[in-house]
Amino acid sequence: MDEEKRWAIFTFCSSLIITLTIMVIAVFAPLYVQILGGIIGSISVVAWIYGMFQGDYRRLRFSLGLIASLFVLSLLDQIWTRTIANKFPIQLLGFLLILFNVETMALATSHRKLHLNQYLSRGQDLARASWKIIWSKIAALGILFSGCYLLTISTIYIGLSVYPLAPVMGDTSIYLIAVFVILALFITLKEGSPNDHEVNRDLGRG
Amino acid sequence: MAFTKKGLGYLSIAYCFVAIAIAFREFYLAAYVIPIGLLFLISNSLTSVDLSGLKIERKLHPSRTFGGDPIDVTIKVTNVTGRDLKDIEVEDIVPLPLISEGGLNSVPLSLLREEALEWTYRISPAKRGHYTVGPTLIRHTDILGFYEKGIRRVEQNSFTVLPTIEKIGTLDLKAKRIGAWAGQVPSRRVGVGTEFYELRLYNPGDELQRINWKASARTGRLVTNEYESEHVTDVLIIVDTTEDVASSMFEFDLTEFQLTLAGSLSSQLLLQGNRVGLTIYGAVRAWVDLAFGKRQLIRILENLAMVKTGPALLPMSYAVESVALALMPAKSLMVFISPLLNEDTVNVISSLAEKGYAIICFTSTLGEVKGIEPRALAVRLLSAQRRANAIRVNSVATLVEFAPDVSLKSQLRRQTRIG
Repeated sequence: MDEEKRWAIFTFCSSLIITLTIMVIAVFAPLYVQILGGIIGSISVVAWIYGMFQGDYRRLRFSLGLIASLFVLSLLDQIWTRTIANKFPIQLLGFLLILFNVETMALATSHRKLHLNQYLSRGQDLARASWKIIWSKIAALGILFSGCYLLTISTIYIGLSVYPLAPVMGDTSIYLIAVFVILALFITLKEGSPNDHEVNRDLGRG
Repeated sequence: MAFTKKGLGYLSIAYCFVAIAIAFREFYLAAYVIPIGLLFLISNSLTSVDLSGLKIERKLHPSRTFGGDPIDVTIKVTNVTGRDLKDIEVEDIVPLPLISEGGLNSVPLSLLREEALEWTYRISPAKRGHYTVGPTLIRHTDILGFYEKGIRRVEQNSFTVLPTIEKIGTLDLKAKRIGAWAGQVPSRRVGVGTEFYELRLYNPGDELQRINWKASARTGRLVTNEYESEHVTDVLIIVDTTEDVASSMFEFDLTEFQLTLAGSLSSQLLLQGNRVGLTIYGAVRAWVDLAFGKRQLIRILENLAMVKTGPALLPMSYAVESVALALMPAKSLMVFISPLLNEDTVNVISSLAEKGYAIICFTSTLGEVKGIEPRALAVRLLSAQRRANAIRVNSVATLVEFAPDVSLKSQLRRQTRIG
């Protein structure tokens, strides 16, 4: 299949996910968010498709920025109207879809230049390898994000079901402390590696 | 491992959610941190790679080129780490003066065990010189690109961009000193050649085709033609690059023009079988001994590629004259290529001519700039200075003036015999 056709299919698929993201964010939102979603959504889908074809990082980022602002607007409305608990599963899905689109954008920008710049015959191997990377990574990310979604929802609902038995589980601060501990532990593990100085020097960071 | 901007961005989002959750006392907002934390944990646990077994080779083709011609850089990456590699990026560092013409120097890759991948990108050096490509940087990120690990591989490869040369056609040289081998320089002696030299009486054994029948009929005795023997000669090309004349002042690059002329002359003189040497005098000084052949041309062109304009540390009378006197046989031919803006050059030419060397001086005309603005006045001043020096040189040597905007071949064709 022609390279451009393959890229068009990839663009089409990613545009569908972008549209789905906008729909998920706007579906239970108030009317004004839905209207805004319609306007912002159409702009961002057009910008996304154009950015995908050009491998233009700025257009893709602009498109995602619009969707993220729609998400924030919807979230603020939920905080204001105290409906965040009711809409949490769908709102979380919207959030993870945005993150998934961020990954698609990263893939598209790093690989598009490769497809636009096929130079010598051996570049065909490179293009084939690139498609393999793109599709396998999309699949892996799909599984990863779905897993994250299911785990988060399960954690929340398990926490809520345990709440009547152990009321302390309903306290937000417990979750916050847990999250802080995880992230702090995580940063310590990553930054404390004995080879870090060598690696940073190799990457030109002092 | 170090956090990428993306990783820091995700962390910032997590902390924003935490801050808003605290501010609004909203449990569900804090829950948004859970998937981010999970993404970090999973992405981190899936990443453990030793890049030391990754084999990278770089080939440059050709390793030597003429100005403007592109160079193909081929990178071959082989995974001999013993495990599959995902999410690596191989970037070959291309220094700034080199322009990418096609392909990519940075490629995202995933390689299976023992898999090899090869690709080529093309770079185009803007002008002559010595360039280096590399080193190659391998970056590895986790599946989500939160952390980055990098190592440097493959040392730099260098290549030389030689100055452009033109085909200038056969040079009809005169020389006071000739070599032992047959060539194309007339020797003022009777021998094997193409130029008529004199007539003499026929001797038994002379070739019949050399009999001059018209002269024989006039004199009534058999007369044969004698020809002037042609030999090779020794030529030392001296390139004066001391004058760092801004090319912006003229509509051409004076130094590049001089180097093209030096390269073209060397190529043609060597092609005609002569021994050619080179001296570069300027910010970079170089000396190439007299020698024959194609390898000598490459040596000369490689030295010309390194030229940098600017004042020399040593005076020309020492750096060029005394060395030339010591190494060049008497009466040899010396070719000066100079803008003749410096009086020292004129003094050295006069001194060498006095010592019996045959001198040819190639100099570029600077063109005319009309108007009274400072640039025009400066060009006129330089032109006047060059003209005055050229008149002095013309009295002791053969002066060949060139217009840089006309092809060398057509200008040299006008010079019937040089030297």
